[in-house]
Amino acid sequence: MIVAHGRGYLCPSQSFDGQVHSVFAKSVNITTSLSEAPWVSVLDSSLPATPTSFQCSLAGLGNPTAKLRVGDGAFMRGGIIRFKPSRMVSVNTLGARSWQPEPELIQLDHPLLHRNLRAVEQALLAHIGNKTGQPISALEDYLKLSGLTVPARLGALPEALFDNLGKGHGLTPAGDDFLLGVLAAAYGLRPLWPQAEQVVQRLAAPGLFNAYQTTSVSAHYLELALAGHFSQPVQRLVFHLLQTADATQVQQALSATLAIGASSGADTSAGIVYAIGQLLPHWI
Amino acid sequence: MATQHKVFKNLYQDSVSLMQISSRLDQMEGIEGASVVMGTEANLARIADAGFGEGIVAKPNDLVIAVQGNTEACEQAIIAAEEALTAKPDDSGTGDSAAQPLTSFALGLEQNPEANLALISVPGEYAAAEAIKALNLGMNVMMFSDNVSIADERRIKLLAVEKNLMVMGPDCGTAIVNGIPLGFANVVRRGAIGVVAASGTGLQEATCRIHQLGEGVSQALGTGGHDLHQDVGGLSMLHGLQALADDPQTDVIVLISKPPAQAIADKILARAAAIAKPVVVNFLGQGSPDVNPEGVFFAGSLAHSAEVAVALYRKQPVPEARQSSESDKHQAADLASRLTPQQRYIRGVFAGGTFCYEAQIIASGYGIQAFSNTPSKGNSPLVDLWHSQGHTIVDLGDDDFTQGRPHPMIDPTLRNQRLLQEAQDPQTAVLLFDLVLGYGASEQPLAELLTVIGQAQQQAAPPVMIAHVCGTDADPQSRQQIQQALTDAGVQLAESNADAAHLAARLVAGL
Repeated sequence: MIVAHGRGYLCPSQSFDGQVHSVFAKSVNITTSLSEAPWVSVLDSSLPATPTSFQCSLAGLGNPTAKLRVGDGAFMRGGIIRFKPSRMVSVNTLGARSWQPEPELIQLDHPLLHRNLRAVEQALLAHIGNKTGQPISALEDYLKLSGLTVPARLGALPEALFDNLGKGHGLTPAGDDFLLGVLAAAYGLRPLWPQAEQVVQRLAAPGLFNAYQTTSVSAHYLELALAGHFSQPVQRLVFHLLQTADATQVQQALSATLAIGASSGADTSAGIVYAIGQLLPHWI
Repeated sequence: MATQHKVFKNLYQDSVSLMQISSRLDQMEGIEGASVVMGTEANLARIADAGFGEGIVAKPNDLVIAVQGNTEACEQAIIAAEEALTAKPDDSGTGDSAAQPLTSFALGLEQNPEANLALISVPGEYAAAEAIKALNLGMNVMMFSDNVSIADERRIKLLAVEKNLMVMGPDCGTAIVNGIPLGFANVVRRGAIGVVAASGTGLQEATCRIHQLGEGVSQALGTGGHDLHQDVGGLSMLHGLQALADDPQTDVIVLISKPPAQAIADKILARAAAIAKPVVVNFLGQGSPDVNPEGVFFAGSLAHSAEVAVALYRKQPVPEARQSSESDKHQAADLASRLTPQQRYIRGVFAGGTFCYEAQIIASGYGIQAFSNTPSKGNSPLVDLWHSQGHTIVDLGDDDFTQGRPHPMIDPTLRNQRLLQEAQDPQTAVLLFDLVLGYGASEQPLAELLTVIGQAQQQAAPPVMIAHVCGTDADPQSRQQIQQALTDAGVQLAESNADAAHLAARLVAGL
C-alpha cells in the first residue's frame, strides 16, 4: 500500500467508483462517479501538486504502467483508493494533509510588480532560449516559435485565445498551457483589477470552451483553471510575482513552474507574463 | 521526399516522453523532420501545413507520429516510434536497490530511511527476535504476533524504554498512527484526543465513539493485552502516555485496559496525574477510587471514556456514566412481553474480546451471573465451550475458538453458527452480539448474518436480538447501511456495547 502525504483541496473524501483514465510513469489519472470531483490524480511527489491530486511516493510501486491499464476499475472506500483487477495496488489517503490555495491579492505595489514581471520575463526567455537553442529575446519570439496567436489587446478580445486550443506538442498542448497561464494571472489580479475580472468573466463564459478540441487530460486542467483552480507552483508563481519583494522567492517560484512537464511550465509562465503585461499596460 | 504517419488510438504519454521520442526520430539518418503530437484539430492542421501530409484522421486523445524523409528511413522511424511507445515498462522500481528483495528490516530501512515503525506479524517464536532487531535499528514496533512469552515481552519493552521507543504488542491488533489505521482499526477523523489501550476492540469502541460525537483522534496506540501484567509493568502504556503528553496535537488522553494489577494501576495513575493534560481512565469494571487524582477522570464504560474525553476537550461538564432511564425500563419491559416463560437467559456471542468482558461486567451489575470462556470476576468458566448453560457470554475471538480458523471479525461463519444455535435454544431470552467494522474486518459482515437472523425469527419463540455495531460511516463497510439492514431485520440496536449490554441485562433481570 502506498501512503499519500498530500492532497489537493478539491480531492474527494467520500467513496467513489471510477476507472483509470491514463497511466504514466509518475502519475495515474482516474475519472470518478462523483459530479463534484469527476477527476482524481495520484501523482508522484516529484510532480506538482494540483487541486485534484493525491501526492505520494510512487517509487514503491515500481512503474505504474506495468501494473495498471487504461480502463481498469478504480474505487475509493474508507479513504483508500484501490484498483481492479490490480488489487495489490492501493493508495491510502487517510493521513494526507491538504494544501490550501494562495491567499487573494489585497494590495498592488506597482513598482514591485513591474520589477518582478521584468525579472520573470527575462528568466523565462532565457530558459526557453536554452531549451530550444534559438535566440528568444522577446515574448513575440516565443509566440512565433510556438505558433501561438494572441490578441493585440487581451482586454478587447480574450476569446481569441481559444483559437490556440489543442495547438502544440505534449499531452497538454502549448496553446492550452498558455491559456491556463493567462487565466492564472487574471484570477490573481481580479480582486483589485476590474479589467482582469472582465477577462475572467469572458473566458469562463458558458459554452465558450470546447473540451473536445484538446486532449482530455488538458481539458481537465483547463476546466479547473476556468473555475479558478491551478496547480500549486502556478498559484505560487502568481502570488509571488504580484506581491513578494524577495527576488529569490520569485525566482524559486518560477523555477518550480518551469519544471512542470517538458514545456508546459514555460508555456504557462509565458501566459502569465503576457496577461499581466496586457492587463496593466499603462505602467509596464 | 516521402512522408509517413501512424495514429495510436487513445494513447497517452507524458510530455517528456513525447519530446524524447520526437528528438530520437529527428536524429535518425534519412529523416528530415518528425512530429509527435496529440491529434487535436489544431495539431493536425499544423502538421499538414508543415508538409507531413493531408488527411490524417485522429482524435484529440490519439497520438500522431508523422515523419518526413526517404522512404526507408520513414518506415524505420515509424517502427522505432512504435517500439518506444509500446515498450514493456520497467517494473523494477526506482533503481538497482529496488531489485533486491526486502528480507530484513535493515534492508527495508536502507531503502526507506525515513521509516520509523516496524510491523511484525510472524509466528510468536520468531517475533521477539525481530522486535529486538527493529528496536536496535531505531524503529518503533507494532507486534501483531501473539504467543510471545511474558519474559520476552518484558525484555523487548525494557529495550524500548532504554531507546525511548514505543512497542505496541505483542498481540496488538489495533492502532491508528498519524491517521493511518493499522491492523483492525476504523476510519476516524483526526483530532486532539489520544488513546492508549491494552485492548483492541476497546480502542476501536473509544475511537469510533469519539468520531461519532464529532471529534477526532490524534493517535491511538495499542499496548497488547499483557502490558499491564505485573511482570511487564505497563511499560508500553507508560511510554504511550508520555508520548501523548508530549504530543502538541493531543489535548486529552484516554487510557483503556482490563483491570491491571493494583501496583501497576497505581503507577499509571500517578504518572497520569503528573502530566498537564486531562487523562480519562477506563480500567474495565474497576470503579473510581475514593479520591480521584487531580486531572484524572474515571469512565464507567468504553463509550463513556470517549464521551468524557470529548466533554473535556470541549471544556464542557463531564457527563455521568449512562444510567438506565425510564424509557429503557419501558423498552425492556416491552421487549420482555414478547417472550415465553421458558425464555430466561442472556446468550452473548461476541467477536470482540473486550466487548464480551464489558458485557459480563454490566450484566453482573444487574445480579446476573454468567458462564464464559473468558469469565470476568464473579463469573464461571463454561463447562463445554460449544454449548451454553444458563446465562452465557462467549468471546468467539478467543484462542479457544480460533485455533486453525480465522478470527470471527474476519470470517463470521462461526459466530453466525453460534447465533443460530443459541436462537434455537428455547431458553434463550436475549441474543446479544456485536458487529465490528473497519479495516481487517469482514468486508461483507451481513452476508450470512441476515439469513441467520431470518432463521432465528422463524423460531416458535424467537429471542429478542440486541446488537451493537462498532464502526463509523467512513469505514469500508458503511455503519449506517448495516444498522439500517439490522433494524429492518428486527434487531434492537444500541449506540454502544455498554448500552446494548444494559438493555439486555435489564430485560433479563426483569423476567
